[in-house]
Amino acid sequence: MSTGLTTLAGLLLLPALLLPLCARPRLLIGLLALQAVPVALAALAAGQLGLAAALLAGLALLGLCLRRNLPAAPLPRGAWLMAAGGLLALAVAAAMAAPLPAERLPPALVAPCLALLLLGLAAMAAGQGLVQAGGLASAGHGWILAGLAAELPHLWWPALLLGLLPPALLLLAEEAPPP
Amino acid sequence: MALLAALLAQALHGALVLAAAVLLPGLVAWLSARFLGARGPRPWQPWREWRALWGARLLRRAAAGPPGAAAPPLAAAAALAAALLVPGFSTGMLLAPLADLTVVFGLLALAEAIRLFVLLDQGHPAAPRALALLPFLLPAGLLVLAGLALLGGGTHLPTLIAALREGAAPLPTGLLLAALAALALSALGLPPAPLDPALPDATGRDLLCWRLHAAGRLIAWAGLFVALAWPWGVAEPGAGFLAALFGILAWVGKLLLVAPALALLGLLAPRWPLARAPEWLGGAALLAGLAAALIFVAAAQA
Repeated sequence: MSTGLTTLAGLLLLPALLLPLCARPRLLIGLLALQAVPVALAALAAGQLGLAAALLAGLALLGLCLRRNLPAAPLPRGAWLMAAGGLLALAVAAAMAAPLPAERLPPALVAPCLALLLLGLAAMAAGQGLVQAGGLASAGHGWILAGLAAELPHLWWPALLLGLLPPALLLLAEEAPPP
Repeated sequence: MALLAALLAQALHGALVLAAAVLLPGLVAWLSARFLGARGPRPWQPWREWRALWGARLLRRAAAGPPGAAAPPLAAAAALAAALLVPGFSTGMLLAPLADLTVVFGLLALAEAIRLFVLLDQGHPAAPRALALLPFLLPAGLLVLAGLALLGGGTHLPTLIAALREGAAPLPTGLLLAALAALALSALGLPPAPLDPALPDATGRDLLCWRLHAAGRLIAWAGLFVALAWPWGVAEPGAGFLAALFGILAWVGKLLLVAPALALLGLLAPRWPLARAPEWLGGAALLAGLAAALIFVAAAQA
């Protein structure tokens, strides 16, 4: 999958990622965090263990942020099923990744998944800012971007672009008059 | 010569998709009525409705503005483009380089986001439920996509179809196809939802665009499922006229199998609660995660 096609797919998904932020920030942020699972899977499959570790560390920070700053409410059953599926796949992938030859599964899988994750994270960080909990979310976002830059330096420009998106959205949100 | 053949294949696929956009929803509605013992509308009834809508008077709220005018054709174009990209009878079409699962998911998500945007703008009663479903749809879709990509070695649909046809691991394939079916049913809803999803209030050509949007997303999901579940019969690039003809017959036959399945599902589960869709999507993600885990285990043991 070429970088152009990856960018196109990411741009096509962007409205669907951003639209529900207006209405259901808490649930959405939690579910968007699950988008890291396919990327971490692809990273493990491609033998990029550093990127997978960075993703999981960033996710943990985002989870911490959610727990501290958002009101507790029971999650729908569907969200638990999704989390169970994702964690199961990640656990098995992490256990099997060490003996897995890197060339067995194509590293090219990482790029499209990563572009989608970056868009999701951008939306997530913007959502965190909109609910007045920007600090830790930005730290998690930055951590993941740092992991990305270290592992896949050729993708620096979409990382930079998407890294700049949340602060821009935050600025716009702060400048907008209160409803 | 190859370019001309790819162009011809793409044009023929476009014509078939348009014909299926008319006939598949009509056939499902007709079969649903026949299963209940009623006569039902003729399968080509949507065509008559579309012609009437084309000539009907267009009334649009002044407050909708330019986005309100642009939304219906954009949503229809995105859904139909997704249907056009999914390989039908041949993988050697002109747009084959763009036929990527991520792009198809992106186009379907864009069409859905536009519909939601208009529903929200209009204060439609169906908007909150549809909006609540979208955040579940994306991660589940991406997990299914990642599982299929791990299985077939990429997200390029012709490559994926070829890998499945050559015989991928049966258990992960079955799990991923079940997950894809759950995903498609949750995105579409059982009948009558695939035929008549909560459409924004519209008249004339705007309503025609929303009907095309509904038909396009139905064909895209059905086409995607049949291409991956039954990858046999799809003509490869450079295959001859007979292979293409066989591919057309196979594609039509597969869609003809999908129509009664959809109609029967609609009858067996007539009270399909949209509120249960997140659980179906959670189940789809769980199956996809299990399939990915199995792929990793198999790859490590090989």
